[in-house]
Amino acid sequence: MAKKVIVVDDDKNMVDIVELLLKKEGFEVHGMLWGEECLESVEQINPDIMLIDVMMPGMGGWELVRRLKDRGLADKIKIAMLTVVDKPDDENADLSPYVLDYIRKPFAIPDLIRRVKRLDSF
Amino acid sequence: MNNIKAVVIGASIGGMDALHRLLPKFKTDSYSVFVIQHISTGLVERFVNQLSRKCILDVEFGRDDMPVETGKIYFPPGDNHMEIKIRNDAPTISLNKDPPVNFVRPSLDVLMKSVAETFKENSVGVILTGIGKDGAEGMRSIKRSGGKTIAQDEATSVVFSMPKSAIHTRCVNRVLPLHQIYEEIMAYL
Repeated sequence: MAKKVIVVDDDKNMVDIVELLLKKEGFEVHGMLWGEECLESVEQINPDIMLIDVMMPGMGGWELVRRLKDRGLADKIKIAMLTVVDKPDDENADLSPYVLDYIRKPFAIPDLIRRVKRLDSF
Repeated sequence: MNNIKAVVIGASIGGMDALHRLLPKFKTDSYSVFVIQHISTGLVERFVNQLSRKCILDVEFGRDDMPVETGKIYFPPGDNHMEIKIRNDAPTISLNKDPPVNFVRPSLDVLMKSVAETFKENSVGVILTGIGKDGAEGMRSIKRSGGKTIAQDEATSVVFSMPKSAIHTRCVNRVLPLHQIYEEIMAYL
């Protein structure tokens, strides 16, 4: 059965590209543009992996991780943050057990695929 | 009398990959290795089981009152602090559910401070990639007890803030790329 990936990023082009790339690799991909939308559907989709943009309007990426954690949904999902920010803010250090990778944009396509596959392998 | 040598390693974001590269290199039974990866309780068992299949040394979850043996790699079970204490003249694992330290449980500071106290100059502390400052005070304790300390460098860290916090204590002996860390640990042991 295909592993399920949620990609949430307010940049639609980014979501489309990642969706296309990962579908080619055999993943079932659910692209979303808003943290709120993601929070509503994550329970139903039950993803194995989530790729979450840090800087989104409304609910930002770290806030989304915090809400997932508070609802007990983050415990078994392998989460990677997607970001143009070079360094994560230490104020989110309490969420470190829930975030396994930190992928900087722009990324090289082979690197993204390698890292998502690596996440899947853990 | 405790003559066991100890290596204590900590990581958070990016650490799963780093540990998969580092831990399989440990191959002799002349020391014990204690490891904390900041990871959710829902994923830790799978992660440790995977590592145990890749490693030469036995990889185990520490249990309360378990005597420390050489030639083993110990992880704390999820949501527990792990400390090493002397009981009946022997290093022994102790688990507790005290409040999180640096927002996390298990905390690397808690483990490293106990390793520094128990193994003194026979200890090596290593901070790998990660977010936050967990482990910085633990590295200070190890250095002050006569042990050696190593931090992963920025170029090979997915997130550098945890190694950087340790480096800022001025208690880090060497800052190294991931692929050089094992050899440096062995040089200290």
